[in-house]
Amino acid sequence: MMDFGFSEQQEMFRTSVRDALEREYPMDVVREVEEKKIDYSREFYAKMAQMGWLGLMIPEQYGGESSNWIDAAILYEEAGKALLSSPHLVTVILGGQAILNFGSEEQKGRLLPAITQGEIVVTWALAEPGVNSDLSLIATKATSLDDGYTISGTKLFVPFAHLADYLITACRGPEGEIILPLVGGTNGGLTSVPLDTIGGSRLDEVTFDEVRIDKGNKLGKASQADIDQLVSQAKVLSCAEMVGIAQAALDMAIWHAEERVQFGRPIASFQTIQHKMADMSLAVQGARHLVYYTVRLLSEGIACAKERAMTCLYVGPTCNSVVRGAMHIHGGVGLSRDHNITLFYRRAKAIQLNLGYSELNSKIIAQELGL
Amino acid sequence: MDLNKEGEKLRGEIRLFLDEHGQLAREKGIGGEEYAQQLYTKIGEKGWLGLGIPEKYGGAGGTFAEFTILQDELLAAAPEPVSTAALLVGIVVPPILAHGGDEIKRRFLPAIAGGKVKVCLGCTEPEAGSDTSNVQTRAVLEGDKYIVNGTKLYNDAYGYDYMLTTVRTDVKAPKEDGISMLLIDLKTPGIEIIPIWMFWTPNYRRNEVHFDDVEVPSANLVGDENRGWHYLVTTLRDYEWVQSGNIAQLHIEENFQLLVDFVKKTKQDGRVLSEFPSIRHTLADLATDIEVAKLFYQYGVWLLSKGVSSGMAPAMAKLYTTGMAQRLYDAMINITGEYGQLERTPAAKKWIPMRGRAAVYYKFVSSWSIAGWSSEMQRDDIASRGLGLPSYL
Repeated sequence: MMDFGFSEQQEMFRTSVRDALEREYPMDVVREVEEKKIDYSREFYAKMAQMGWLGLMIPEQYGGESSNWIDAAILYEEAGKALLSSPHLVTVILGGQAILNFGSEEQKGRLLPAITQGEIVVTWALAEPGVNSDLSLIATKATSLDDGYTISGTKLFVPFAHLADYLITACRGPEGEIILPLVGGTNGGLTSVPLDTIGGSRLDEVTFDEVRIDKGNKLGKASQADIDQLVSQAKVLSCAEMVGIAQAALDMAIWHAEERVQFGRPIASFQTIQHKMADMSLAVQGARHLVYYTVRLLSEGIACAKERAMTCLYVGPTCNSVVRGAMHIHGGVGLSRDHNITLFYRRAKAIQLNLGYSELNSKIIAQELGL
Repeated sequence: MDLNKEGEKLRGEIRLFLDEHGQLAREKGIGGEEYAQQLYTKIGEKGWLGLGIPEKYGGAGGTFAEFTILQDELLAAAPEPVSTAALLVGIVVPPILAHGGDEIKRRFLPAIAGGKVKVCLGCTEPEAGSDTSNVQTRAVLEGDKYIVNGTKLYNDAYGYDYMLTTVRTDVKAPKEDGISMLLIDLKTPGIEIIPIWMFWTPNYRRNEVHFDDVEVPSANLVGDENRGWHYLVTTLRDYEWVQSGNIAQLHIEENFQLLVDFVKKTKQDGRVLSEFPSIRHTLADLATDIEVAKLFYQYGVWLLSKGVSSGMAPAMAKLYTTGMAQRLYDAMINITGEYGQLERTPAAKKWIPMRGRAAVYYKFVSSWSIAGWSSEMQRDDIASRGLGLPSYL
């Protein structure tokens, strides 16, 4: 039978994450990060390092914390409730796991401790114009030189590109193979243009114009399947974040409906509102079940391509419909820029869109079903 | 939909005018508020704002069904402030026409029809959202003036000349029977207009209006004292719902066409989007959904043109079209994937599909099931008035 429980340690971790976010990452900080376009709070990211959140799933020998995907999902669910913006997903999860899985011992020893300390930002540059996930279509080219490569091409939707110390850039190598160079953020020939999103953050268009890197500055061999697995694992954590966002939006709607009096009584007493909120809670709980089921499989090393695809397919639209319902229950007051529900509404959709095409996830599920 | 040959002719004239005027504005390089104001004044001069207003009050005669032709065309091709101002003409004129005395009609209707005076509606308050009879704004008659105190929310007061305002004139009567309608000059001392910035675009403004001992001539009372809420309900039912159905159609066909073109020409991971069966089916469902919504709306307009009671048609039109619009814009942004989240900035221009409509409309559409009475109010109305079920409100 599947275990739905959390260990004492996991419960303590959730409590400490929630407390820290409630105390030090109120909605004013969310607005400040967005309005001042500072991308993330450096102060809070340093706190995250101190609290060990940047060591998730990085072995202790590299400065990490003993932890698994369930712990990560707990962190992301709580972070979603607080609308935390940070490079955690690209640096610690995608960056950390890529270095751990594909990197050399030297790279691990040099980069992983710096990641856990919050000293470097690592990001992931994969998508290109018209290319979302099929690496066989990647056009960014790495041309061989005696002592390294030059890289040319365009990457899209790269988070934190302008702040990154390293961009793990999926390129087509000289033999047509996929290579993953670690492009230094200050390398000549690198240009990043901000693309503002409805989520309130920027994703960049990054142009590589004969960017030179040393031969040693690339990760080892990774196949399409390896990269798909890593990316879809990270997306499961984005789904955990969406569950947190939807839960927080639902909680706000419940609070509002209990406070708001129309026709002489709280609108929460109207059956139409009650049933709507009951359906919303059902949706959040279903999404949460799926997320934690999948991270349990991940933690136990059980193959779960189908479950990962199901999580992305289900959680994105489901949690978005919850947030939309929460906004609707707020009525006119929830439509002004000053109301926090608008932050949730915008962020939830941006995360869903970054989970990838639903057609792609449906295709994986169908294949796994043997169709 | 064209009601008849004359309607078709009128539609043609309005389209031609908007095309030419838009072209002229582009050549002269004017835009924004200045362009909107000029365009609105010209539409007034053309006499189109007077469609549905009798000739003796400076209008063009006919029915409000003809006015909806103007409304449709403005929604399709004019800047938002122009279509909103015209929409408000369709909302504020009917109660003045139906209940106002000859004097007030002569003072206001020719000026409104000529595009010289803009009137907005002030019914929503902090405690009166869906519960429209819960008006707290007080008006006390002193001699030949009302002294008004209170707050109105989410209205178009900024840049408008008058507000057609619901005010409480009798605190002892049942709450539906103690409300009156006043036309308040927004330049009167004691009025403060504060912006409420809505979240969908950077400059989309609604207003919070405070009345602090504002003196309003009693001659600006529309109809009888304490009948204002009944006028308002008729107004909202007969017109705002039809017009809200109209709002929900804003750019619908154009945006749907943008989506169709987008899936035909966009490749994702090597495949044209229109090859995906799920996307093809989604578009087919949406096309059907849009057709049904249009028919709901056009049925309401047709009833108006016949001068018969529109019954449940406006409520059904509003409820259905807002739902359809939310389904359309959710699909539109989802199908565009990562590209759909981009805001319209110069840097993002080359990557933004469909003129950036996906992100803007995804946000904007969330207001349509709330503004002009929420979907719950339409359902309740359909259940109680339409199906004869007992009302519990």
